[in-house]
Amino acid sequence: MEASELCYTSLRGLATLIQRQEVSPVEATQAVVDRVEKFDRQLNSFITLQRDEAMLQARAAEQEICAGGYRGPLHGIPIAVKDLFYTKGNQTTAGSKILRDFKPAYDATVISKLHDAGAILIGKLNMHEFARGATNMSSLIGACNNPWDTLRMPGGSSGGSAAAVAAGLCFGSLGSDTGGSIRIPAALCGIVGLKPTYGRVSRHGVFPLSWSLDHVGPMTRTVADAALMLQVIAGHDRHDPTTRTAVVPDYSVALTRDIEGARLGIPQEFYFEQLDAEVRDSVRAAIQTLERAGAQVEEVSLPLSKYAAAAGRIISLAESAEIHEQFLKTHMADYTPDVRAGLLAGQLVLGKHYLKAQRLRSLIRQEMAAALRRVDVLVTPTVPIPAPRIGQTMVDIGHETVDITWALSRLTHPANLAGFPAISVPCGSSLGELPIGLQLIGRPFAEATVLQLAYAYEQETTWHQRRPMF
Amino acid sequence: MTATTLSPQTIGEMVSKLGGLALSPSELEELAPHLETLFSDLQTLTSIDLGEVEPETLFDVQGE
Repeated sequence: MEASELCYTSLRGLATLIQRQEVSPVEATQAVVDRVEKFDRQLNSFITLQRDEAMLQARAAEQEICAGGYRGPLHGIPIAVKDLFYTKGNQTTAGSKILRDFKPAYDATVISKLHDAGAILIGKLNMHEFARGATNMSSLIGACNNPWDTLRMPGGSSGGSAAAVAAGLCFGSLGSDTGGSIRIPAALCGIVGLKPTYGRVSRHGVFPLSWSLDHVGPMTRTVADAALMLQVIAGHDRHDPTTRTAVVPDYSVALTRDIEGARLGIPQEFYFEQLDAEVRDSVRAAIQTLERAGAQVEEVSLPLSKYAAAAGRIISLAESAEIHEQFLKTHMADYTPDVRAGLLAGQLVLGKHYLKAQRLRSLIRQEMAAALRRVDVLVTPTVPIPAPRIGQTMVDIGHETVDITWALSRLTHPANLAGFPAISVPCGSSLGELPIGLQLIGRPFAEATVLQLAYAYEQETTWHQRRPMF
Repeated sequence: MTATTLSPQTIGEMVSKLGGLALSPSELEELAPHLETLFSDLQTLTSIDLGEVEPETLFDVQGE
């Protein structure tokens, strides 16, 4: 197999090849590391490439597998993670000059779980500074570029993760999602991004942006790959009191269940307003595809969703202002301008504002839960527009000119406020060949259902097979 | 974020509330659109009748 073909193999496909010993972890790791060195100057998706350490891990995995010690589907798989996950003894910057010398004393729980599963960490990925932004334009190493058009942004804040996965520079990644930071770049880069239920995956050792809104999840090229990664990282963690002891089901088994009779809820308000026409057409076509596969469509009413972004921003501002209070006093000049300004604005949020936003959050969650008692998932666009140009600050949608960040995150905030699981899967392409994402939102801890429907959709289409120019 | 309409004087008054943070003129300029968004969001929240609902906590998220 040619190196480029190998690098675009799905995580699940590579796992099969490694288990059969048809491809070695050393061969796979060498291929992606070479690819990073060849192409990442155009993408700027890696903050740190850990070539030597990765090759050592790969040789150890190869020996263990050859000796009959195969651990499971992630054994020997080269991955990379957003640079806000703590990696013991290795630089962890959170995309900020402030943390350029920070080497954590321990691994994040999810990193430990990936190591235990035998995954090979090849590097740490670019991100919007401190995860506070949806464009990935502000970072200590500069903007990350979209592999479908390097003059466009990948979305953020997990932009490096999405770009690297889309360009075949790793076989899977982890991102974090506070207002859409997994799903937005997944949609703009044409990959799968899953934000699990709040409490499903540990955030211990993940630099926080907003404690009550932060989620950790997988970013991959296929739904089955996301299921494999979630399987490894999900579960209770005594270091993160928000994690639940709920049983972790077998997500890969759930994928193959029939979706005949599954109920799709299509929101009648908000989600299909102010959309780029190509996004609207692609999502409508995706709903028809799911109907043909046996799902039933129902209209649902979610009128409070239009307030979710305002509530999410207030909560995030207040919590991040507290998290960054000390850095603002000691390292004010080291922040990128837009992140610094946002954090300063957060200093003005009063306790009563925060509680008002949390009260509104209760209503939004109750409304979404009520809708999800009638249907299995809500189906919406992930992002209202395809990837904007780098440097673009405003966009015209729905006869209105709006701010780019406002546009990128307006449809993803509700699932963060509710804490419910949500996935973005590729569902189309603009005339300019830019990817479009479909969002499925499920009941709490029903990741299996969300993955099942996303997988069923993926099997009916070829959008996930498209590759960027690299 | 929206394009700012706040005057430098208004921004200065707001920033005086920031407590112990001395901002340069360029930092004040950067802050303006974020303040616009913040106040717009606060107005949105104020416009909604929240009834008697209590603040959210996600620690009690329940499964299926």
